Amino acid sequence: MIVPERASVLLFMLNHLGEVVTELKLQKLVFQVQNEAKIPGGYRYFKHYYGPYSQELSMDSVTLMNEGLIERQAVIGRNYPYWVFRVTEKGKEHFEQSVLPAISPKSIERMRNVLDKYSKYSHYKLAEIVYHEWKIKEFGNIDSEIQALERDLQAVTSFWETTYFPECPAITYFLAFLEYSQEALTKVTPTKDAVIKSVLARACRELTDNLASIAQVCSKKDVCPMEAEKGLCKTPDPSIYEIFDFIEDFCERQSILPKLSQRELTELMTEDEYKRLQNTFSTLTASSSF
Amino acid sequence: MRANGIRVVTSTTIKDEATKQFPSASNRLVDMARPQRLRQVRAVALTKCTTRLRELWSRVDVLTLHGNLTLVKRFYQKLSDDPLTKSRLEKVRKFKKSRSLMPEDSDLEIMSEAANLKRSDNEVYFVTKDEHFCEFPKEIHEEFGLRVLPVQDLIQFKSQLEAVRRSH
Repeated sequence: MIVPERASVLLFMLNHLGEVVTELKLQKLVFQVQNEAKIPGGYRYFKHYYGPYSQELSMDSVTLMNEGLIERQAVIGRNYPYWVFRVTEKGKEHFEQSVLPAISPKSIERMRNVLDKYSKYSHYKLAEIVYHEWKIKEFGNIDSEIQALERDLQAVTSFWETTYFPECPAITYFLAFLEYSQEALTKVTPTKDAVIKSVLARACRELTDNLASIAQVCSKKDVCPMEAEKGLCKTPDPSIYEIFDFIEDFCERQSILPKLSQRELTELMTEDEYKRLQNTFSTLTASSSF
Repeated sequence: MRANGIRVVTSTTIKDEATKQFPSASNRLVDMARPQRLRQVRAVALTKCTTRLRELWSRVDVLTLHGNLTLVKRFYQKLSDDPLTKSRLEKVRKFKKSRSLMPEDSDLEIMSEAANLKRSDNEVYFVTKDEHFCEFPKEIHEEFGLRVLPVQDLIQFKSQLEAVRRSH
């Protein structure tokens, strides 16, 4: 069995908690455990200045799934799909026999304390806490960071615009997430509250990075990360949706923008635009008989 | 599932086809309206369509039907061999801007499923807006016993049905 040594934190966490709802929470919990419980040999990506997201952790979770140690279930949520991670019976057995004996009792106690402290939070709250803490450690000028982020958002948007085809629901949503994020960042710019700006910037950065990563795969012909058949997504990867779910929830709580998923077409469109949309529908109905 | 005492059914083929095609239809309609927040409007419209479609599937019986494709193919072949009906097929082809006179494979599949359903039911109304079916209601009824009901006639059909009910 091939299990990376660094994945012991992930296995410990899932054994201790039973299940973790959303990949966003999984990522942030491992991040907090590694940092606060001072567990050595962790995921390197956390040192990246963009923020606490680890592609290695994401990759390890797939390795553990392939080994049958954990399971990941895609759940259709009220607004967006999300992941639920659980340890399997085989995973529990492997953990008891091979992982647990290698962890010192002090590390175990520290990890338990951190998990008990943070696991009670929803993924929305936990992500906000982590983005906030990260800002204090690393950030100086948040406004210049937002400017850079806006340029990157524009670049990623341009890529997805060239890849867009109307049959693909995933790209339709990706472009909407990017447009919403741009609007939110523009709205938050005049705010003096650096924490709000920073949390939003961190989350938008994570979304942008993830969409940029997927872009590399999508740009390859005949390869689709969304398990698409004939270009149509059957099961879109929930991790992208989870981050956006956080962004829109945060924007609503901070009165930056209402949630996209709860907006009406009349709110998003001008009166003229809405009339045009109604006309296109009536044209469609009229053309159905020939 | 019953509406006004009538059993409403659809097939897995129709469900799959609709699921595959509605994002494109929704996006194209939104694009025609040219809204400023185009991408967000597309997503909101798509979400609304998804929700409505889910509601629709929950209100009808989705059946896995196995039709005889050869019978339907033979039927349309017969139509294309007859000069009178061939001209009507030609009209449909022009309207649909398609290359072939024959319906698409998925449409043939749907028709064969409806025909199969007719075998086990008293009266089957085949609700459609597809020109390949709406143009040949008499021929389809004679061949398969199905009553083609164009979507635009559905409301009128419902009123007539209610009037009959009241008179009884």
